[in-house]
Amino acid sequence: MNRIMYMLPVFILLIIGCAKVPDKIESPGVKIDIIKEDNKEVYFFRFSGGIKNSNTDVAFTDYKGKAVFKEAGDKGKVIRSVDIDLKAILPLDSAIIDTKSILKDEEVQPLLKLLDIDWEKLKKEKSAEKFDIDEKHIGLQNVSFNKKCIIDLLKEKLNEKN
Amino acid sequence: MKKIDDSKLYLYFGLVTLVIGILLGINFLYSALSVEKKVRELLASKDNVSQNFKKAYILLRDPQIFARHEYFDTEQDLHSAYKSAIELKLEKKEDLDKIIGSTYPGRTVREALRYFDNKVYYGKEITSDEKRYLEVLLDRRYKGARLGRNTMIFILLLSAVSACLFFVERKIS
Repeated sequence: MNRIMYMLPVFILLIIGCAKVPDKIESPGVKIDIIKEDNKEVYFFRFSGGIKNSNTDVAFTDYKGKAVFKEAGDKGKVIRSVDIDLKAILPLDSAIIDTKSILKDEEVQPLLKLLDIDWEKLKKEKSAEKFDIDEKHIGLQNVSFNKKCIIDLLKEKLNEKN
Repeated sequence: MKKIDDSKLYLYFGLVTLVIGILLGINFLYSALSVEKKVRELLASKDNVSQNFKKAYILLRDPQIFARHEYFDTEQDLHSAYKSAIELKLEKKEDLDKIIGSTYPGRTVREALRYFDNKVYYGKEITSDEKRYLEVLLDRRYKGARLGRNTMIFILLLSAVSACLFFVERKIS
């Protein structure tokens, strides 16, 4: 009986441990607008995407990491990184990443080159977007999260409300 | 030629199938007499509706072993949702059509799980209109438990046959 009691947490951990960890940004998209700030032209950079949890019973909480724009290849140079901080990614769901930042000219130029965005077109129309970013130019780094069984998580939330 | 004594084979086979049958029986009884009963009571409650529906959902979120949440057939689930609505004597099919046609999650069990996980996690209310989809989840559990019961009956029949063959073999020996 004691052996079974000791093995039970191991089995539970194995089940949670076998969960498929989200390691890819779904549908990444970038929008760059040229705006005026303090009489200077700056670039309003908006990055959006999704992180999908394909597990049915495991939720990821406090999911943190960096979305990196990088050159192709495993050791490709990182051109720009964007912080990701997601409260929770529930089972069978996707958490939305939507970050905004202001970039200077010297920061945006390498990004435009990497994403093959026409600089002249951006200057003329004051706006450009790209929604079919090649997988090899975008990735996730320094990812950390907590894994939890969805039933335990929902029970905690219900008890919190009570 | 030496006669082969199969009695041990029948005995062990009979015992193993008996144990499996009993375990399946316990699983079925737990689902039918405990979980399903509790869920029906919570869904029938008139006070504190949202809270009780959330408790019912958490019970249903733990799937029955024969009706786990990993495997879905989208078209079959929609068809099942309609069929369940009629078999469980819910309101008219036209009412269910209106809800399925709207922004409600009723298309598949998978959608219902995603929808209600969000509702409970973010503390949103579950309304009486959404009870239908909890009943679809209950129906899935009900079907899973009955599949378990039928499997138990089959396994116990195998055990009984094995026991008969054991006694026949002993008599011949």
